[in-house]
Amino acid sequence: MWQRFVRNRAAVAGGLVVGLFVLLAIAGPAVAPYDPLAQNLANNYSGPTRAHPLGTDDLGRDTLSRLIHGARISLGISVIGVGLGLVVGTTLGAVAAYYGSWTDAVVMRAMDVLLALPGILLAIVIVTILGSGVVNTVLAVAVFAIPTFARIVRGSVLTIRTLDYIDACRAVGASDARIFARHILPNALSPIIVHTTLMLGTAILIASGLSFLGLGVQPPNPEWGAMLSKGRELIRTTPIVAVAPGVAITLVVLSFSLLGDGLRDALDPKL
Amino acid sequence: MLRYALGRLVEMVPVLLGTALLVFSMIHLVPGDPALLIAGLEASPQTIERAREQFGLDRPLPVQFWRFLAGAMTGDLGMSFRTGSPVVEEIVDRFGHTFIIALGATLLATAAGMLAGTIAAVRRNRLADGVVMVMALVAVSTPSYWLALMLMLCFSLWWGLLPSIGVATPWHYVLPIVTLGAQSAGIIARMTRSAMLDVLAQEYVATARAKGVAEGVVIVRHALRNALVPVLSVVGLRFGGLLAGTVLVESVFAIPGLGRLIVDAVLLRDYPMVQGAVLVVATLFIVVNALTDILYTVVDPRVRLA
Repeated sequence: MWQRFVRNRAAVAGGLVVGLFVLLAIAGPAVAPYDPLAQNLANNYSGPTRAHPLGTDDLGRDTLSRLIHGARISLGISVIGVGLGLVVGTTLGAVAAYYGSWTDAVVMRAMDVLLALPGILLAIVIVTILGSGVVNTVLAVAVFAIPTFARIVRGSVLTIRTLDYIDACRAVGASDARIFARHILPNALSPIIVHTTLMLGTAILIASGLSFLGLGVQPPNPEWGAMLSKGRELIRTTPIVAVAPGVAITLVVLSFSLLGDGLRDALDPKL
Repeated sequence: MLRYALGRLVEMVPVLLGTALLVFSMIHLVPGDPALLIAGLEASPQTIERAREQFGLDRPLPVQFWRFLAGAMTGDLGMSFRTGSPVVEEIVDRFGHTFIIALGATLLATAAGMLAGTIAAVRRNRLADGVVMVMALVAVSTPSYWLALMLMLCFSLWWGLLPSIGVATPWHYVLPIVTLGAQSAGIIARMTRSAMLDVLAQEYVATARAKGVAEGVVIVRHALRNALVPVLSVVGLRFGGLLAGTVLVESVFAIPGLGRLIVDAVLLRDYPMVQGAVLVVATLFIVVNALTDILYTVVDPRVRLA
């Protein structure tokens, strides 16, 4: 599988860029030249200079440093949110598929309702109920992610459940939980992995969208969407502040997409 | 076909009800007393009680939900907390702009996406294919509100070609439509390429070519027509995504549409407005999806039996 993956240069590039951003997110504070919250009113509205390669905003805060710190926030929200969605969604999907009939019907109808609100609208509903802020943005991302994971896992489990070796396990006396953990889950893994990767990208779009609207992460946190909201105010004076975070978001989401597509191609035995 | 259509419409009902329930419970899930939210935090106990009665919040929850549903079906979505006027009025006022943008974006995305996807499929693995696919991927990865800002920067602020704020003239709709359509165009392009590749590999295409039919006719009359089916279903499904996308795009271009209505209402804690507007958008989305499914069986008879 690795060999197939490595042959796909775009996917490898995507993976490397993702890795770079993850490193940036982890090492951020050590790497950033300035404190992202430090104001320097003497040097505000500055375009790109040697001291500030990406300029400063209206309060004199360095854009590059804010961007680096923002990686930690944006990626963090995405990873934790999708992770939560993955755990809950997988559980729901597996339970629905395994126990069938009423459980299946109820769970999947609930998922349909969650899917009836397109993307950012669902996130807005969640944020309306819970309020804004980083934690609630994470929860909004998680709720957004749950239904698709549930559907995928349900599909995989339904397929695998009918295979003979599961009956053999039962005949030998294995418990439901053991069958699920040891036999069903590992085989459902590859669509889950691919979907998780793609979701990580989408989650960043959703979370930054919420923050852009003022409903998600609140200023002065340098989350990329929130930075773009500020950038919009400064678009006439210091356009770089509106350009840079968007490029970052696009780059990261693009990389996750390439990575996910590459993983899908590498993991699919039929190709 | 009729049986499938009816079945599909019936399936819609529990989802609609569930969505209505979700939307209805928004105000009740918010921590705190809804009556307090309406009356305002500094209101006296009498004002709070009056608000409670006025908005029917003293009734048991199932009764409240029933009233909400009944109201929704007769066109009464409650009163705005902020303006005191009916929610429906504001929604109707704003709906036009959003609809124009969403429809325009759909048409643009479909035309551009299908053109690009066809070119990519026909010139498979050559430069054009690579370029189109990269552009499609970038289009899908770009946050729509950032694209909006960039387009505004280029076309409005630097080159002064197009207006950026408001809806005074038809030209004001151009940038929002292009912004919103871009992401969908990318998705449609990829879908079209994939569908076209499948179709072009079919035997009847080889037959047509062997008969001496001109390549252009082969592509349009034989291949594209058959590739149309999965592409159209994507278009239908994307419509919902576009409605949601207007939330972000309208914010940037200051369009007085439904999307901005929702955002403003959330920021102002005007819950009846949020509930009403979200319900309208969700219902549209569900209905369009159901219609797309039904249309799919009309266009492709093979799908009917599923």
